[in-house]
Amino acid sequence: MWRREGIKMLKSSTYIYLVSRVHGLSTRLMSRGELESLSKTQNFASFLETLSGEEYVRRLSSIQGEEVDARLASRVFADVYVDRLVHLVRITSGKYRDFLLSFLKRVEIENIKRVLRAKMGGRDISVEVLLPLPREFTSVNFNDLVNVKSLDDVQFHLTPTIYRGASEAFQIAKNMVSTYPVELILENIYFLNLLASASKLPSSKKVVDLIRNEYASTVVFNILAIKFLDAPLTIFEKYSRQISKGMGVSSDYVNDLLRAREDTFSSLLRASRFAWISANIEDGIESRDVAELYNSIKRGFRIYYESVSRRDPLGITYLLWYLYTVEYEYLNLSLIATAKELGLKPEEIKLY
Amino acid sequence: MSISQNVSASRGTLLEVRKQLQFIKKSTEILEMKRDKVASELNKLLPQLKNRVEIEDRLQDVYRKFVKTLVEQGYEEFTTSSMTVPKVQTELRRHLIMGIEEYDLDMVNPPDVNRIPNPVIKELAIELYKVFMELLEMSITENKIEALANDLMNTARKVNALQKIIIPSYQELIKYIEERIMEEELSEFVRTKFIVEKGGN
Repeated sequence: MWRREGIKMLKSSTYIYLVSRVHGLSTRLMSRGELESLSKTQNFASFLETLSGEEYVRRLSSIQGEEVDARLASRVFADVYVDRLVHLVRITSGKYRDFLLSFLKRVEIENIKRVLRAKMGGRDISVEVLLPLPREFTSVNFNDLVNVKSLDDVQFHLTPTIYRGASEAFQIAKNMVSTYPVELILENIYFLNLLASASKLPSSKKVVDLIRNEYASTVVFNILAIKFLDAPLTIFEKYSRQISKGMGVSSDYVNDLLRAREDTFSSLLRASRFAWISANIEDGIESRDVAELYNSIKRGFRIYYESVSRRDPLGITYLLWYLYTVEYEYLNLSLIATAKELGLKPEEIKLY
Repeated sequence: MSISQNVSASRGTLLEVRKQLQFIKKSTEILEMKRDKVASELNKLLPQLKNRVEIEDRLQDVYRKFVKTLVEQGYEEFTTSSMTVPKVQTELRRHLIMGIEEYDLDMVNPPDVNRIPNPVIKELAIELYKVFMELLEMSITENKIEALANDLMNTARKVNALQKIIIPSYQELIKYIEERIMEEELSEFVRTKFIVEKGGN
């Protein structure tokens, strides 16, 4: 027993280096208090003036010839967000690098979604609209992808990548005239891929569990949103096996969630490892408001991952805490910038 | 200025003027019927105007929700989600009913909001489209009310003019022509009688 604990205590140098760097990098992150004081600024101009992060200030002040608006500011925040993730990938190696690369795929997924939507509507899209992910970190050539004509061409571009499993969903998407099925499956592929990388990490249990909880929160949101919109859940039924794999539950459990009435949905979650979600969906279920449901799940997940990761500042979950916090900072800054530009009062701004 | 000026008082003219008066009276009746029909149509539509306040309130609510959702979801998510919906095409059709100009709006290519993949934006779009269509219908009704009200005013004015000016003046003209004819007939009778009496002597 003692020996096993002793072995457990020995961490690889890559791990120690990574966790130390993450602790160092986390000092650059904005605290909740800083974000809240930004949300209390008078207007968009004073928001920009109050914005203190060196990475943001440098980028915003380098913009010339264009007036900075919320949209442009959000792009700057997106630049910083992607840069922070990429930087972490660059400074690490081995299994941790593979894990971080898998995590980075969420940026790639976001970009694929944007291209898919444009192609579905027959609209043009440029790479400037996409999140600025360096080519070396993507399995998709976005410079080519934005120029394709149809959804079939997008599918063709994705065939040699990890997203080839979405080919059937493309057919469903064409029949439904909506990119929703493909987006769901891409997300599923992303999480399965991330879970596979996470499970190779030493003491991976907590990381895997946290990722599963994140995936479960998106699945729960999507199922309930579809129920609220009175749309069919066919796509979920078809892919219940993959979804259950991502959530780490049985297919029967996913089918139970799909069949559950809205009033019994919470109790099904309460009895599972996703109990925290149940507390965050009750108001949304009562009002049948998709936006409210989304916001409370998103906020709920922040509280959940913070509580899990903070317990172990030297553990690998701290790395996940950093990754999620970087993302939440990007989302919150974009939210505040847009709110300020549209003249929302501080009390109307609710951070994620 | 009297209508009887420069009118030759002959039997032919009298017949013609009587025919015209009959025609004018029939037209007045038709115009009265149109006026009543337009008035009843207007009465039917007017209560619908009350709905505007409610629709505007709902539009304001949806707008507030739109701002909130835009803030929470971000510009890019909104833009890319809206890209999935093809551009809306409408056709404005003008038609005349009883001489009243009316407009109808046809949705040639309605926005298929069900294509939106983001459920939050989709929910908002469904709500916004519903209110937008109600507002559009309200605008068409308002346009119809305006056209009917204008027409009612014109028709009433015409009926009044016909009943109070044109018809009485025609009646006056007929009376004038009849009197003139009577006078001429009387003088003709007197002249004839005079000639007969003179010839007898």
